[in-house]
Amino acid sequence: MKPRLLEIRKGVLEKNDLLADGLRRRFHTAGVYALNWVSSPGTGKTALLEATLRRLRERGLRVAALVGDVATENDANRLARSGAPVRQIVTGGNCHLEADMIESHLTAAGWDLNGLDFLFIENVGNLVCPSSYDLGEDLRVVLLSVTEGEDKPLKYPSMFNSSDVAMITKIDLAEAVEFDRASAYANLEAVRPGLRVFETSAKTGKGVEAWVDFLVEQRASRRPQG
Amino acid sequence: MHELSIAHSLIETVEAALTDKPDLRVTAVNLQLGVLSGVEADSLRFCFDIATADTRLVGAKLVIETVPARAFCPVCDRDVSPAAPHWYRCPECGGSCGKLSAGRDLQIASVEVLDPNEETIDEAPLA
Repeated sequence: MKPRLLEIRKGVLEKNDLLADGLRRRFHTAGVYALNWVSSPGTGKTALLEATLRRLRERGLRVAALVGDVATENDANRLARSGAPVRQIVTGGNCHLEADMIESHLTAAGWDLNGLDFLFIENVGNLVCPSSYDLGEDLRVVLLSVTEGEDKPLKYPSMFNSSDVAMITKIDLAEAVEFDRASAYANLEAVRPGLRVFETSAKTGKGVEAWVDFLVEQRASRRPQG
Repeated sequence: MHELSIAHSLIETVEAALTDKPDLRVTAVNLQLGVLSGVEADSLRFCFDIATADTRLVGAKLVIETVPARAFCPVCDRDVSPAAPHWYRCPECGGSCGKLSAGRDLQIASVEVLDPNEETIDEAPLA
């Protein structure tokens, strides 16, 4: 009995990628613009998401959010204050979201995708694992707070170079923590040349309006393909 | 630390590729792992050994080939191998490269299999 070699040539995450492609088609057909928010814990994903949901709703846009957390439902409770439909995904220890979780939670939530303009997916706070998993999003947003090191992009290149937009958060604290803006931008540019960067403060509202304008434009420019 | 999830997906992918060959046992998996895949080889090996218990991959060897980053440099007009931390810059001219053509790989190239039925046939004349 001799072992023989069988060629497979398949991506390990092929099943996830296929599910994600299916989700992306569903989102496009329904006119939903989907975002995947990734960052390390504590960058202010939930605070900025709450501000974003509020502003989009004020503009008459229909929004919903799926929020991943390892153990608690705290984030969903906070986001629900915006008035938007929110569903928590408790991963039970898992450090990232996968496409099948999005699919099953969308079904369980019973949301009519045709009645939505934006779907926000807040990933588990982690700068390594979520980078491998496509969730069917149109836009991957990586958040970096001024209280973290400016070299985060260099330490986690996979996450930053798989993202479409970088968001520098807590900009109201920049001066107090001596945030080195030039160095942060240079590091972002190093791992992903041409990466679009926004600066926001969920606390003061600085930059949030420009960010929301951008989202509305992005959705409008994508819609004809749907 | 998502290597356990990756190990489970890896087993699932191998199983899916071998559904029409239920008798085959897998003795090795040849995996191509990009330097920017976000997956740590040692911890994947550790998880693979645990996750393969009670499957037909039990005891199989995980052979990992590390795939370096590759990108096309439009200035030098050829493929180059960018390195940390400037994954999107040409190491020769420092210019900006487009998308990486390799380096994020997480792909099963092949598996080494044993067919226990073959053994019966081979050994029959000896009996």
